[in-house]
Amino acid sequence: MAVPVIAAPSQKASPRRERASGIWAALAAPGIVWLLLCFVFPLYVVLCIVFGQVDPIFRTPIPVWNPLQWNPSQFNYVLTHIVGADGIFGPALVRTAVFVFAASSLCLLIAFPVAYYVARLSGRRKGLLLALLIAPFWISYMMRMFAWVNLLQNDGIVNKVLSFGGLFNVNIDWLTGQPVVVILGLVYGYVPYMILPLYAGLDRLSQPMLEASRDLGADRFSSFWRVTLPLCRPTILAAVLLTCLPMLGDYFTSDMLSASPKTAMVGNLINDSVHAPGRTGQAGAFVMLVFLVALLPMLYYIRATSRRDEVAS
Amino acid sequence: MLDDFHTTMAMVLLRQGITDINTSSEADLKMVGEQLSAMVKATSPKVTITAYNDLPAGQLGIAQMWSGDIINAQNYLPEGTGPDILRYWFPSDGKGMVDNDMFVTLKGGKNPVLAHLFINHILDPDVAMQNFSAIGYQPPQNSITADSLVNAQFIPENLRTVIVKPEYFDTGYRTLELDAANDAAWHNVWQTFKAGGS
Repeated sequence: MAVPVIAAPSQKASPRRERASGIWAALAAPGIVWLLLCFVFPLYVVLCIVFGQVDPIFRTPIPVWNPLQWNPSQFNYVLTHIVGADGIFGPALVRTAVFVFAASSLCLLIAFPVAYYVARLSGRRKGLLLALLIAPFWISYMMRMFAWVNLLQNDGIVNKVLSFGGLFNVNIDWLTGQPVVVILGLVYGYVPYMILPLYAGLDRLSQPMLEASRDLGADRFSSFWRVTLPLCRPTILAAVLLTCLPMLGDYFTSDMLSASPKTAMVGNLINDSVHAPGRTGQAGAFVMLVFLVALLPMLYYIRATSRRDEVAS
Repeated sequence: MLDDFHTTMAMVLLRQGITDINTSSEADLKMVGEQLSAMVKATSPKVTITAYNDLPAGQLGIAQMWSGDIINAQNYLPEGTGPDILRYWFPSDGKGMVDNDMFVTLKGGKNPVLAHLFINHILDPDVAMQNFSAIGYQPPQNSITADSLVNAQFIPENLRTVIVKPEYFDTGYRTLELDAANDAAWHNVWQTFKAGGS
């Protein structure tokens, strides 16, 4: 008896699937073009300046576009002055790491409860609270720091409050080289940038999942620690990255609230190098260092989220 | 301290009795770096160009300033506070840092006559005083003296020392353009100072 044979499906993709992948490529094109124009090309320009030359008369940078002709002397100068006897840049880099870690941690401690409350517990007031969360973005970062300069002046409100209206003699120089002031300034400036992504992530948490943990006997703390927090991990990571990365390059906060070498961060090194003749390449080298440091948590984030997606699928 | 490498480092040199404020001596520059670090440890200074605003606002008690900055500072005093609280010190023998800005006409400029007329206009005494009021930097009129300005109530008596005398340009010290190698050496010291150390 003849057995009917069903032919194996052709390996060639169907025309409909080919058209679909073409559409997806077309939809991705604007993003790719934006990435190339606004990220890849400027980054290449920075590299061409870092590894370029300096005009001997005007001390202006001369970018070298051919990588085969790149000169690493400016980059090497920065690398060889981080540690050791000539380690003039090391303290500022360490200080940046400490300030950013401390400020990010404080931001998370403040932002998470606020975002959690607004996302999950605010009820009918959610819209109003969300509008209030967005309110700081209506005022520029510079103006918000200016406000703190006034408050922290020697005769400012902060000292007046601490002196209990003149009862005690409080004369703290908040604005001269106080690391705590710079850290708190960073927290104040960046905490709105952490609250919003945390809110967005916490708002999307699966309510049935959280209810299931309570139904299965977990108390409030266990439910939060063993269910809510693990579910929030990618959100927290994203929010911390969104805050940490711009903080790494911040120079304005230290300039406004301190203006002292004692609180110089890598952003200040970049700013000073850009304004010094013949040192734009060094500024670019600092930018590359910050970029490489910032790349590591980004790669971890991509790996963590793609691993989560693999498990999910 | 002024956020200007040459002016501030030159002040350190003068403090140590070194009058060559454009020095290329390695030992002198090393000393300046050490002194700047010692100053940071001792006084935690702000390094800024806004002392003309911060001093009258009460954020600073003492600041290194050019004479024009203290003239401008009068405009930044809080309401109800007069300029009598300001003081400016410059060596009475004129042996301090003096400098000037210049108007230049370009050899290949398209409008040399207009350029000359413009310079004449700026040098007109009335126009020069308006310019002085606007930017704080003293114009080179011989008619502008400490006595004339105090009498005209342009400056208070306590700021008489702000006025630059012509003889200062004979006795004073000028910050000059440094050659590329020396400029790099000065900037190395300044960069180390601004980077903050440990």
